[in-house]
Amino acid sequence: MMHILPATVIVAGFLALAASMKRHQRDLLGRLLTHVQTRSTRMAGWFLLGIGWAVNAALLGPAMGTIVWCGELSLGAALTVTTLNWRTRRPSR
Amino acid sequence: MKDSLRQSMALFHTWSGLLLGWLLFAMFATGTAAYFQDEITRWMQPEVTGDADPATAAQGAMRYLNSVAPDAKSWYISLPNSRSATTQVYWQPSGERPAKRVETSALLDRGGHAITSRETRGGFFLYRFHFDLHYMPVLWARYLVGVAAMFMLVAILSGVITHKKIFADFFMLRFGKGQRSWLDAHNVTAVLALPFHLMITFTGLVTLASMYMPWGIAANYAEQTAFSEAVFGRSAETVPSGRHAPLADLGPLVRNASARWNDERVGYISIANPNDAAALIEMSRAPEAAFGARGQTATFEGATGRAIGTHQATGSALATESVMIGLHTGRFAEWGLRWLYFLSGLGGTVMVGSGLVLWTVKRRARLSDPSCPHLGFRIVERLNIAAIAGLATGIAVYFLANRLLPLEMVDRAEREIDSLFLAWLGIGLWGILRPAGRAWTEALAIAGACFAAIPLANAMTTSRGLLPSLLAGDWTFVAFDLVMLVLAAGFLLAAVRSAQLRTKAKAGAKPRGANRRATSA
Repeated sequence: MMHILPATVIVAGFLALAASMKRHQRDLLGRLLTHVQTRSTRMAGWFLLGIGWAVNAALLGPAMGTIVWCGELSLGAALTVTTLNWRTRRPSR
Repeated sequence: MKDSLRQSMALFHTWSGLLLGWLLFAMFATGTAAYFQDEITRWMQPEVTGDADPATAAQGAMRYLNSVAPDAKSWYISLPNSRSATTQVYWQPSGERPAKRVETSALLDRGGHAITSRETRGGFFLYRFHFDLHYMPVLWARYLVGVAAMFMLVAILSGVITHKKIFADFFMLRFGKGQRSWLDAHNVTAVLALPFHLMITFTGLVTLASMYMPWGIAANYAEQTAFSEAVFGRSAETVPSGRHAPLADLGPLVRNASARWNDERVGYISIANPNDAAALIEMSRAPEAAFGARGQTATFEGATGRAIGTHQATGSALATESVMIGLHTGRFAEWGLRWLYFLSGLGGTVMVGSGLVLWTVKRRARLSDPSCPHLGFRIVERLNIAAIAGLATGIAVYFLANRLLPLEMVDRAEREIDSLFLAWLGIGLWGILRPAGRAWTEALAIAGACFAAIPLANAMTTSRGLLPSLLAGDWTFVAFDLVMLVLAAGFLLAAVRSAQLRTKAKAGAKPRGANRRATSA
């Protein structure tokens, strides 16, 4: 249960990072973002990943928090890849 | 300049990955399973239920050892942790005669009675196979495993350089595109768990570093025992006095040691010269209590039970090593983190497997005559089938054998292990005898069928099938059966996909990936 809050933040962070990449913008948002929007989305993504670390560190201490954060980063990124796949596959069928 | 570095790294990555890739696949797969070794052992001993208290278990182990080996040179008791319920004991007999392992070890239930029914090595075997392999001297195995781990480290670092779009392709996983899809799968499993892969490979080397590089110790200590005495405070050899004196009760001593460590569990007890006036008891804190694998120890006089002192190996190098081993083995991890470890390990297994397959997929497109590939290609292709589908089938058969072999069979634990390797060998031979494309489909289907059969065999031979376990809230058994079903689904899906690809290829489609220049390694 401890993982749900930070993991959600991390998934949101990765989704924002994906949305800041041109090749994923159409799939995720249905349109291309402007240069400024892209930059702020990227910053928001990194910021959320950082928040994920802070939440873990606050809950579990810096050492354990960092270990758990690494695991959640992998899981969060994997969930993001799955989401992207799911969103790109449907319209083409 | 940059491109030539990339090219040389590509070459390096391809061949360092391939050469020991099959061994790495086995190490990754069994190592991943080993994160749940206690749960696997529980599943493989369905007769044992409930939790065990270390103090009671220690007292029971002492009763058992007093009855089978009261005058042994030494006793070793591995106490149950918070996830297991059994006690493992070993002893070193007093005679000069070297004894077989089965004669000097036993698995006890929480009351200290030997578990004779359904003899098994459980998840512990998969854990040991991960670095000791089997049917070969342990020393050789560990050197081989060390070389493989070194290659892995090289492959990871050169891989990050080689796959130039590894971060640009961070979220890319496209299905049904032949070589491109294999490359995506390889990239994604590699990059998503990159911190884990780097950590696990490096710390894996650290676990056996003093064996691979003994010179530091050799230069400073005349003997290995002098080193362990200086660092771990272990007395090399205590001389028995020859006077008989019964050993103090272990139960209260376990509680005593535990109280010194903020009620953390005692994990391990070693006793030199039990039942002698010069007996010495050493207790070690359970590894699950902290990151560091090497915890504190507490020493007691055997005959009186008087505490002599506690010891903690000090020094930053040792602390670093201890934490690295702890990170590798993940014994401290509670269940959520344990699942993350397991999933990351699974990702690593897929990374190695997809890398191996990628080697053949890339080269098939460039073969002059795809229907008759050259010898090297054929060898790699067959070894891939043997390594990937073969090991999977082997592990599934290991679990099936646990349920299906007669309970009172002689050397049953060894026969379970033999079943694993026989199945592995069988799939290996199958891969050689059949045409490669068909062999993939068939071997993957066999692996899937074996995994699917496990929950069935469990439900038919024990009273702890999926449904009763679900009703009883027995999550270890529920999760085990579910993981087997997920693996079964994965392998069967892979079998179906490979069959579809074959019929598509037969229908006259161009060889997959032929129209695509290889973009990167």
